[in-house]
Amino acid sequence: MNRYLTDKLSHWVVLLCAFVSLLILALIAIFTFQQGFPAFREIGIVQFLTGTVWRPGQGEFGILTMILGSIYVTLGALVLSTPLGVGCAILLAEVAPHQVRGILRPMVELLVGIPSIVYGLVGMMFIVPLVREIGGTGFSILAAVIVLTAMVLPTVITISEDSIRSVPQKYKDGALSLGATRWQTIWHVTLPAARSGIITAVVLGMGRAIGETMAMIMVIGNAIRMPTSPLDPARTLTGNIAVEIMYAAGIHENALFATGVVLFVLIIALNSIAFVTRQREQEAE
Amino acid sequence: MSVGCGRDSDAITIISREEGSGTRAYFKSTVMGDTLTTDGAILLPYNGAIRNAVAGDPNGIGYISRGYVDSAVIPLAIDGVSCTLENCQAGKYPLSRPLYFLTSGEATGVTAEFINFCLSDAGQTIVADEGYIRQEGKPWDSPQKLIGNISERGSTTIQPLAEKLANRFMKLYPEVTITISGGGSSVGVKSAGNGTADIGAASRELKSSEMEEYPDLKTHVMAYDAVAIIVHPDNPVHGLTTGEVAQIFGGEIADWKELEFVEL
Amino acid sequence: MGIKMQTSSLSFYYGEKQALANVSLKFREQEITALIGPSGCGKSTFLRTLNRMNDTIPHTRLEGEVLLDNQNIYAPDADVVAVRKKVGMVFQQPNPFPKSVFNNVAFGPRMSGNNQGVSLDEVVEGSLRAAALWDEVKDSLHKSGLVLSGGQQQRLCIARVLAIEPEVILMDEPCSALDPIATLKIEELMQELKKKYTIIIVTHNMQQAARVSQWTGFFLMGELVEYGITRDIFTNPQNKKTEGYITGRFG
Repeated sequence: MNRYLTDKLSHWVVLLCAFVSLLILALIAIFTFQQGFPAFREIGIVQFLTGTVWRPGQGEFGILTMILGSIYVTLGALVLSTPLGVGCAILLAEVAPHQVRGILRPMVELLVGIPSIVYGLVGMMFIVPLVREIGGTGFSILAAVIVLTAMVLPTVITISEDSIRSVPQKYKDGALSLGATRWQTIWHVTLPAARSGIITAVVLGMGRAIGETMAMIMVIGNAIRMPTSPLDPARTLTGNIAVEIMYAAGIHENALFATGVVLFVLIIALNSIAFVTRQREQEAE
Repeated sequence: MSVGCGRDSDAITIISREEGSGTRAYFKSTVMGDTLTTDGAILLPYNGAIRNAVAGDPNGIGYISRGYVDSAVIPLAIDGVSCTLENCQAGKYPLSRPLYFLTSGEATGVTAEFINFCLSDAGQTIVADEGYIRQEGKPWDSPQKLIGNISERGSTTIQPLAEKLANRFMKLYPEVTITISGGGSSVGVKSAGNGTADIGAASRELKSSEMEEYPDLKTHVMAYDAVAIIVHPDNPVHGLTTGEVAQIFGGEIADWKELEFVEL
Repeated sequence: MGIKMQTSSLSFYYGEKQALANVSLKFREQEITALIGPSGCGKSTFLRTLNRMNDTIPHTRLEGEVLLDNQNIYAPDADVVAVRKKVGMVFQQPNPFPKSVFNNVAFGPRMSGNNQGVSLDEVVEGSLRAAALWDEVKDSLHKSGLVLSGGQQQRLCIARVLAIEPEVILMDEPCSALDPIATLKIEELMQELKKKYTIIIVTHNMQQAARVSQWTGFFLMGELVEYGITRDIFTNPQNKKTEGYITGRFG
């Protein structure tokens, strides 16, 4: 009887936890949409999404440049961090001797804990001047991509390594016993078997990339202009909210919440693409 | 001139504050007038970030509170008046503005004593020491003993000065705790208005909308600040007119080569 | 029949622990040799030294020689990959890759990249036929190998080995995870395969050893206790320990 009660209780507690998490998520979404809605109504969704001029003082609200800014830096960081991260993960999981891994892995994990403002400062002091050598002011999409890559890498590395490591030894034994070399085994057996975990790593990295705010503000220049090259400054959606929310009131504030709505939709869209990709990968097996 | 490393042009890097900043509002009303800041400008949300950015860019130009100027950047002479403390104190430097402490209603108790300390000769001496512009010290009967907590929030321009003043005050009265935080002038107005901070800090005048929302707000001019127009130390330009600054920030003058200047 | 493979004075260590002591054993061409013995006697370790699979385990050490066609596969200039192509292995747990049936079988040829003149399709079909699996999977070549039954998976693994055209096939308790019917199929298959290959099988199951093999070696605590013609070992063991084991007194 007693055990039965505990069982029942646990069931309800777990259910309650799930419900509370969902409720919080729903409330945030509802609040954001509710606050953002007046902006859509007054500015017009099309005007808001396709406008390239953002002058709150003059009542002009268009966020296309920022949508592109966010997409560019996220994709850029993805393109750089995926091969780098998976490469490092292979090194840690399959190549590095035990002792080397024992040092490297905690270091990589430590990188996750560094506050993003520190990445931003380092980026501003070192990456921005470096990019300036190539051209432009240095405050640029390229600088943001580099900083973001550094921030996303630890996530991609650790999760990829875990998934590579969890590939059963019997697959590797099978490949080796068929005369595959060590690298053929990694490339043709281990990585494909770890693919689902690697995609998860990349999706999580992408989530961190598109949501990153402080470090981006420090290095991307926050200018509101259509970026035409990686050396141009840009503004991200998150940066727009963070830079201006302190001062905003009225329709300006609504417009910033509407920016949040767009960010919300963008993240859901990116995750859906990732989900579909993963689903298709698994079906292809 | 050629100050950039490996660059053909000397295209000016314009570094401005974000829309809504008190410093930007002042800069806009005093220098820019109706001219809009070019949309190619780099926008950074802190005085310190702008200083660091200009310190790192030979072609950069930005504006910050004079209190943030250090040897890494050069403050330009404006309309022929260099941005020295003497010129600022004497009222000759054209870009100076009052800095405000805001309280909801008349300040009382320990908060009132702190504000009085800031306005006293002792407080204003700290103001001058920190590179801000002092006023005549007001008499202040310092009490024997004070106990309590004070919170101050708002303008990042005022923040470092407020920290120095608070530290001195807490040394005088060890049983008083003062917490200083930033957020910007608008946050300062809001915080004082809705009572989430004892003292709000603003580096600009109250907007009419803010006065309507918080009719009880009292303003105290706690110091004056000069806005310095800063460039990289390698930049041979050492002075501009207000008009030229407006042309640069408006995007009309896009290259340092377009300026006629006198080598110093 | 000629000697295809042999070990001489083979000892093997995991760190400080000795797992094999002085094992000298010969494997005859086109015959099946069974290795029997209780758990932990070193028979699987021994099997894995024959295609250098123990190389993948850190902190191990080997003494003695393993000769394949009179060449020491542990010679400094020996090519591990080439050795493993000649000495294929079937594992205790069926371990097809999480790939399609076709890609499982095609894996080996693809990795070595030398399917001279013969198309991959033909190699796959031939190997699946030789592993007696073709009729069961010919319509689902592009479905995952993991959806097959345990017995089919093991025959898929055998087909995968056949596709690399080995000379020796090592089988490490290949039927221990299978039901009796699947086991019977594998045993029948082994009789077919022995016409072409040298087969070495480790097994727990003494009836299986008696049924399938021509030669039997009995291992105990890392040593080869007795070796001989299977019929003799099971009917007239020379060693008391062997007799004890096969009559079920221990093990």
